Parts: sequence; C-alpha cells; structure tokens
Amino acid sequence: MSKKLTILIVVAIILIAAVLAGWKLHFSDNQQTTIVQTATTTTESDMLTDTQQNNESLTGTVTSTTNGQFIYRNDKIGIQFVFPAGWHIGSDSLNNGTLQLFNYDERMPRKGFSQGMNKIEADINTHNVYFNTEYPEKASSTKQITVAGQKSVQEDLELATGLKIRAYFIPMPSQPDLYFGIAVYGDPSNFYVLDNLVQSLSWVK
Amino acid sequence: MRTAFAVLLSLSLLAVLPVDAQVTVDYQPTPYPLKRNYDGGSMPQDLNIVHLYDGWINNSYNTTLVRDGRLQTGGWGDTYETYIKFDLAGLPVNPTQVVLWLKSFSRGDSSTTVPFGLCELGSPQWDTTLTWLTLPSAVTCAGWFTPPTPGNWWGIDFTPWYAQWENGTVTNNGIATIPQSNNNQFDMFESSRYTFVTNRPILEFTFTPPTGIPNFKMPLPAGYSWLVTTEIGGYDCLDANPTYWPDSAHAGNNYYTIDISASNQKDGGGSYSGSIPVLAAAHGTVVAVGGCSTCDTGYFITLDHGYGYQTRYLHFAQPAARHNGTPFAVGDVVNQGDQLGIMGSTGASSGTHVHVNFWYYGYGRITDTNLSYVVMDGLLLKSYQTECAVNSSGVPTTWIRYYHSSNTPTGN
Repeated sequence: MSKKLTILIVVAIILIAAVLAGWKLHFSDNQQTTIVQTATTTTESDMLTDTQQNNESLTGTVTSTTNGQFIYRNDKIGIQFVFPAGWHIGSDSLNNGTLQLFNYDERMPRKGFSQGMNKIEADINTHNVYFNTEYPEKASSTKQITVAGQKSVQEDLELATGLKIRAYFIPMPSQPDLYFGIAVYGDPSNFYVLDNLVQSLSWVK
Repeated sequence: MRTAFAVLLSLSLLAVLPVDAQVTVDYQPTPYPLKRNYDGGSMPQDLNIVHLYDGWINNSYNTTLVRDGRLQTGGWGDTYETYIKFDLAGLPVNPTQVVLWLKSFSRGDSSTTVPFGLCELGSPQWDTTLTWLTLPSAVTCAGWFTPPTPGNWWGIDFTPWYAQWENGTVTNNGIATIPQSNNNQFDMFESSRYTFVTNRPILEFTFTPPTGIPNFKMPLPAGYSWLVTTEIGGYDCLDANPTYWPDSAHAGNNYYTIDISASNQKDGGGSYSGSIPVLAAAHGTVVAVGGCSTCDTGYFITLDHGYGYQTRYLHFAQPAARHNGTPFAVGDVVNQGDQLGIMGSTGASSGTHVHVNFWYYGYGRITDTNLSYVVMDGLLLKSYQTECAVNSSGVPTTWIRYYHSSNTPTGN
C-alpha cells in the first residue's frame, strides 16, 4: 500500500471521528431538561396519610397511654421514652441511622422552622458534642446533667443561620463508649418537649 | 502492516485527546415576587440579587418603572422605553458568545413596529424607584435595529457588553431601549413576569467547557420533575426571612449549592411513591462518607469526578448505602445513576430534601469559575431557580418550579 493511500485513510478516519464527535455533542446539547411549573398538587392531608403508613415499618414500637401520650420502645437498642400527643415518628432506623419525631408534616417542601415547628432527632454515636461543620456557631453552652442514672451532657447552641438546637448526649449503660444523642431543632419555646422526653427515658435491657 | 499501525495510532490519539468542542445553553431566569412570604412586606429587590430586573417606563402616564408581563418600546406622541438588567453572578465567565433573545408579540391594535436603539446604561444605578426624571445615563448605544416581527424571537449579540460587566470596565447597570420614533409605533416583548415561562427573555451562552467537566444529571430518578427550593447563592422566591435568606449553606465556600425537595411530578401524572433514592450525578469515587443525626450535615457522601470536580449530597435519611444496602466506604467507585442513599431530613434540615454541593477542588465559591460552566441535564447550575405562586395580594405562597431529571437509576 502506498504512503499516499495510508495518509488518506488516516485523514478519513480523523474526519469521520470528528463528525461523529460533533454530532454527539449536538445531540447531547439538545437534551435540555424540561421545566415544569405548576401549583403543588400534594396536600398536607395526603402527606399525613403517607406518614401514618410509614409508621407501620417502625423498628421500635409505639403505644398510647391513658393520658394521651405515647411510649416509644426499642428493645434492640434497649431504650424507652414518652412523647406527647401532636408528635409523630417520621423515620425510625435507630438501629442503623436515625429516629425522628416531628410536630409537623416533614414531607411538605419547606425551609427553616416556623413558629411552633420542631423536629427531634436521635442516633447512637461515639461523640458527646453536636457536630456543626456546615454552619458557623453563633453561641453555645453545655452543662452536666444526670439522665436515667447516666452522667450526660446537655448542649444548647445557635447556628449562624439563627437555628436553635438543644441536644443531649447520654452514655449507653450497655456500651459505655457509645452515646444516645438526641436533639431538638426549631422553635425554642417547645424545647421543653425534649427535656420531658429525656427525663422519661429508661433503659429496658 | 504500516497502514494498520497508522490506523491504530490515529484511533488511539482520538481516544486520548480531549475534544475541545463548544456547547450552547440557554439561561432563562425566573422573576422574584414583589412581596415576601413571611410577613407580606416588600421582597428585597436588590439589583444584584434579582436574576432579571426588567420593566418599562413612559414619559407621560407611567413615569415610574412598571414591572408586569410586557416590555414596551415606542409611543404615540409619548415615549415608552424598556429597562433590563441581568444578575450575572454564577453565570459562565468569559463565554465565546452571549445572545440576548426577546420574544415579540402583537399589541393587537393599529400600531406598527419601530426601529429601536439599545443603550448600555451608566449611573445612577436604577431600581424600583426609577422614574422618568431619574433615568440613568447611557455609556454606549447601538442601533437603529430592525424592529421585531410580532410572534418571533428577536436577538442581539450581547458579548461585548457582557464582557465589560464581567471584567469591571463598566458597571453592570443593564440596558435600555430607545424608540426611533413614536407615531403610534410599538415594539412589544414578553418580560420575565410573562405567564408563559418559555417566552421570557433568554441569554444564550456559547462557551468551551473546561477539560474534564462531567456531563452531570440531576441526582434524582428520571421520569420525574423535582422541586427546587434553594438556588445557588442561597436565595429563593418564597422565604425572604432574613434568618434564612440567603441561606448561608449556599454561600461562601458553598455558593454552587442547590436544594431539591421530595416534592415531585411524574411524567404523565402522579408522583414518586416510597423512599426517594438519591443518585450519583456523574461517575466518580467516594472521597468522604459519614455524618449523624446530631451533625448539621446529617448523613452525607462526597464524590470526586476527576479533574477537580466533586459533588456532595447531604441530609440522607440513613447512612449512605447502595440500593442493596451495602454501606459506602472511601474509595468506592460509583457510576452515574447509582444509588447513594435515601433522601431524608437529618441534621439541620426541616423538610425532606437533598442538598447538593458542586465543588472544584473542595470549594464551591463564586470565584471557582470552573463551576460556572457546569451543565446538569442541559441547564447551567444558575438555571436551577425557584419560582413562586402568589395569592391575590401578591404574597408568594409556595414554590412551583420543577426540573426534569434524565438520570436513570442503575439499580446498583
């Protein structure tokens, strides 16, 4: 095969590849996302129904008391506490992640906590201080407190966004290197709910 | 033999050498409402925040800037002028070309169209208080331009002025239209407040993407459109409460950050049922994974996509794990569409959403200009903007802007 023919073949391949690359780029450019704009169709009551359905998959159990409160019990973790009416468990994977209680519908799109809105969130972890790496801290204070017979830490902090948080870190009697961490976010006038919940906490194994 | 070698060599070179091709994307900003949600007061209308500040003014009847669904130039004895200013923060830096497109429409009366000039505006900077007596001076003017044909798009190469505003040689005070005459002559364009969103003003960018920039897709399942609640920079149309606006987690080192809510719409009707998987926006390697419920990030994962590009996903319901439940570890490789975790609301979060950071070598600052070229599902990051429905008093009531994903879950 002559040198000329070789060069011609190489040039032809480069041209074909360039055309294909250009076509691919043009094609991908046209795959622009579609924007949909409409009023929200999901209602608050729809979401609450979903939340109630979610409760069927709790890893702990929830029972109601005669005075309208609820008892949450998780035998695997060995923990039990009381929470008031008006709150629901939105997520319960305390064995691998988090336990969350809300006094509002958390599945509705929202930002920040309005007046009266709070979230309580718990996990089992190795630290006894709230980790805030994302938002700078405006103020914080800690105090020692005894919870369910364990020397624990209560921490109050306010992030730069204005979000107020109260957290408790309670050593697990069965695993002294681990803490039951539980925090309330949102309207500080409802922080007493976490205080009462923590005071009701007991170990069940 | 030599031929075969030459063919192989040229194919290898093609595979290795990056294709330095240009892309063209449209940017069509949304308007902010004029009132704020939390107390019905006036929404901040800082010209450096509002994505597109546009309106018209008249020397006789409407001597203060009017911001409705139209932009008017011309007059019938009197004079109408249009004022337009784009917020450039987060838009592509030093693009090859920027074209301004305006959609023209018929006024529906006996008027005809009119040639007009375009002027780059100087001082004073104008805002809601603009009146016919306080019109800013012109830096330079161009025209007269051929009048628009009603029903068609009218475009002009905007590149020189865009470059001046970007490099600071001229302060970005926007542009104004000047009619050549006013003998029952009007040019009518749709404004950023026009109801039909696809007819609003567009900036069309053409640029050469930096080497290695991934072809991102939205980190949520294809076949659905997802509600954006916080834009890059931390602003949104609903919650102008100074406590959260701008959201400091979408500013500073994390300017290029978007919040996407669980609220969604399925193609053809309905919505996603059950736990929502968060998907890898592009192929990458896990470089950080962790978090907790007593951490402001909640559960999270960070991916490195090569060439310095990274994405981070916060507030998972549980620790980051694949679809089959296998927890992620640093060094794991993921493909675009692999499940990273379940959308949740852990940490400093009040509602179920995913907070997506776009980083360049660990930072997502506005000065990390490589991120200004990031295109996700065909749109610039700056395009993922919020828009709000308003009640009869003009107070925004809810977010209404959903964005369609093409990210097909791999089922990993």
